Amino acid sequence: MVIIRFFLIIIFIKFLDVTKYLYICLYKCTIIQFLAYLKIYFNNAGDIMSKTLKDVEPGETVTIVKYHDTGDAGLKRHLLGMGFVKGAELKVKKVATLGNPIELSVKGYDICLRKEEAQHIEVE
Amino acid sequence: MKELIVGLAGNPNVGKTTVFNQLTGMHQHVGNWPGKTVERAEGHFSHGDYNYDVIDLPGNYALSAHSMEEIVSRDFIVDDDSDVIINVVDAANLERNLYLTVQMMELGANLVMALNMNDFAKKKEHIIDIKLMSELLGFPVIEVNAKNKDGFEELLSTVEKASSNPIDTSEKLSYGNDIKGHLMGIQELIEKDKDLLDVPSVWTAIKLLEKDSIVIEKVQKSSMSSKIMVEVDKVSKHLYDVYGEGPEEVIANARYAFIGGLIAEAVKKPAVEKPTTTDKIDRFVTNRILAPIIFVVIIFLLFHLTFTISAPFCDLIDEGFVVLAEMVAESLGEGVLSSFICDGIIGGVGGVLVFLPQIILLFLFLSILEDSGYLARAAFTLDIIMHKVVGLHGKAFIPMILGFGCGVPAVMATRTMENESDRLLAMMLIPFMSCTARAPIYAMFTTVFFAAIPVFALGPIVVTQQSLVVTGLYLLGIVVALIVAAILKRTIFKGMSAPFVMELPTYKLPSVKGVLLHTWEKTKGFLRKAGTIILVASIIIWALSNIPVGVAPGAEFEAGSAESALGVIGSAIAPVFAPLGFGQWQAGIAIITGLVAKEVVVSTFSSLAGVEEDDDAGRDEMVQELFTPLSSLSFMVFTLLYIPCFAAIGAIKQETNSFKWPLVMSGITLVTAYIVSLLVYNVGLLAGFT
Repeated sequence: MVIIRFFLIIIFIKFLDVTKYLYICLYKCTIIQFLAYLKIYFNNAGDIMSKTLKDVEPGETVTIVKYHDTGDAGLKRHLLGMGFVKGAELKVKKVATLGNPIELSVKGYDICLRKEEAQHIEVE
Repeated sequence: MKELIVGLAGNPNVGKTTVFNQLTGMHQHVGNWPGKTVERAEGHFSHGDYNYDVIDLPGNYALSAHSMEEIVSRDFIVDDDSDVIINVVDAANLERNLYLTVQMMELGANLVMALNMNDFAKKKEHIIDIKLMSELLGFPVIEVNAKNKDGFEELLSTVEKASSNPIDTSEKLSYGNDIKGHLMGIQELIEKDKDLLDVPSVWTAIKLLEKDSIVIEKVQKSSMSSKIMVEVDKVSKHLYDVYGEGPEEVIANARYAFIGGLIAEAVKKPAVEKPTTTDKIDRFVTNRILAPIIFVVIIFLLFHLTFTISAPFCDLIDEGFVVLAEMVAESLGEGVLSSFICDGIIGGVGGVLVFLPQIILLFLFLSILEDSGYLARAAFTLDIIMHKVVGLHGKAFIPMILGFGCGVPAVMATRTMENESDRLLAMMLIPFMSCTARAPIYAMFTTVFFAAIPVFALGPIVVTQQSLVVTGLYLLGIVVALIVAAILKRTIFKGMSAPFVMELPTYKLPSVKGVLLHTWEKTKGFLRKAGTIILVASIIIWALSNIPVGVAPGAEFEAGSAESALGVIGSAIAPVFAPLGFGQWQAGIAIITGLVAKEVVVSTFSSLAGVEEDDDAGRDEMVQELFTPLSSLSFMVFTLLYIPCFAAIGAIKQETNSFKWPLVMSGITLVTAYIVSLLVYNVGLLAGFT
């Protein structure tokens, strides 16, 4: 009896191995991949779909929502010190001759920033 | 007499340096902080019973560990020696200015605020209740006007009072109960280690949360370090959970919340901010279409005015030196000493000093543009070109423009660039900006070989063949610089360039004193070059040209001829330049002497022709024989691009603290000059020119 139980346990463990193997196979299948992609997409959809400082037209006033992780950490730190904190009001005043950089006012003074750097700041 | 050590701290563009200059006048000394490349301005003055030692700290927006300027400032504040820190603040820009103030309060600095630029605040209709602000901040606030010294008496007596009753300004800080509670938790642990208490524990706690590398290093040496770091970690995670952002952002927010509350109480603002004078001016100056036009016009005026106004003065100085040389020759008679002084020293150094009026004017106009606030707008307009083409940012154009005057102060001006590799790249490119020293070379060759025939006319401005060539050379320098920059950016200087975040200060009428002081600072560099390196080099060149080589004793020897040491060296290297069209030994010598100072090239030809300094005809005759129009062009191109003078090399060595970069720069310029000059000459030949 003990030996039969022993074999049953071993068969059961092998069964688990098989299902694990089956699961890995299914995971590699495109349907699972697609679902996984959708999951990532909707998680970051906020970031991709949202409005950034780069998209703001001259004359518009926006407030800062958050910083995207894609931005430079050192720049973010510098900008925080310059007044670019959550909830701060930014007014885009104008754009330089060839479209870049932009001039905006924050906390009562004027500052310029390149669009490549502005695109990491989410606004509303 | 009591001794006081006072530091001036504040944001850039608030008039801090104006305050410094007003207090110290000429009794100031600009050097470097020990072991660092950050400028340190120190001055002295007396007031009543007190002798002041004032340090003008670098303009900062914050006190993080990320830039040398900020580290130098915070070290100074923490240092036991300083008595009071005067925080110069722009009243029209309170919110952002107070961000630095608040961080100094975290450090417990003994602060006195000098509220400057109140006229701008009044124009914006901001009404500031100074008494209330002082109460809320917990330290004195004094209204001043740095331009005319208003309020300085009160400021100084307040500073003196504060020095005898120092306060810990961190007491009035309030970041909200939640954060306060978390900070207390960390502070309690910090306070258990006496070694960490040279600064208020609240500063250490905040800096740890901000992941400040210097403070972390310091805490790690403490016996409490593991307990403290664990608590810091805990608080960080908690903050993230509650606020959804990292501790750095939470703290920045908390600081601005404190500032916002203070301002809401102490400052009355109009409901709608009306456009300031600055805004009105900027409607034109940074207008998308007008901006580049205005820039070109201003730069054109800059150079045109500089050259035309300085011309008569330059001639005056030139004549002065000729007269001086004659006087010396008369009193000393013929002989070695007379030649040494007249040809060697006066000839060499005088040739350089002739350009002093031009240099002074160029720097004067640039200082006016800088102090007025225009240069920031120019950087704003130019940034995209500087970035996409050169890989630097807008502010880098200032050293480049200075390079058209003299490379020495241009190299020193690169100090304003924070990113190390951007600075180096700028230094490598400055020699390609045709400096004033090269102008006489172009003048000489173009008068000899290129006729004053008008090519076309733009209204009142007639463009002759000569001016076309000269302008072309200047432009060539810029074009070559762009190409070299593109190459360097992809090879030695590969990597991300610094982001471009620049404040656009309000337009201000520059103060006369300020402009003059700035001009003098830049001119000093040029004068130092003339007085030292060029003097020494002129003597060496004179010696080499007077030492005969392989001439029998007693035989005829002409100084500067092919038989002098200089001539031998020139002949040795001359063949190298044959493919460029100027393989004669005289050209070889001129190129060597050009290393000393580019101005010397022309006088070298004069002495080679065996004629007096002012005998242009004799010199031109020889030049005509040695060169052809095409070879003169390739020679000019070569002098435009090759290794700059020793002074410029020396400046680079000084700024980079190593011999590596001057050598790299010499290599780059030499190779570039050879290639471009080769192209010019050979393409010209193929095209059928001579």
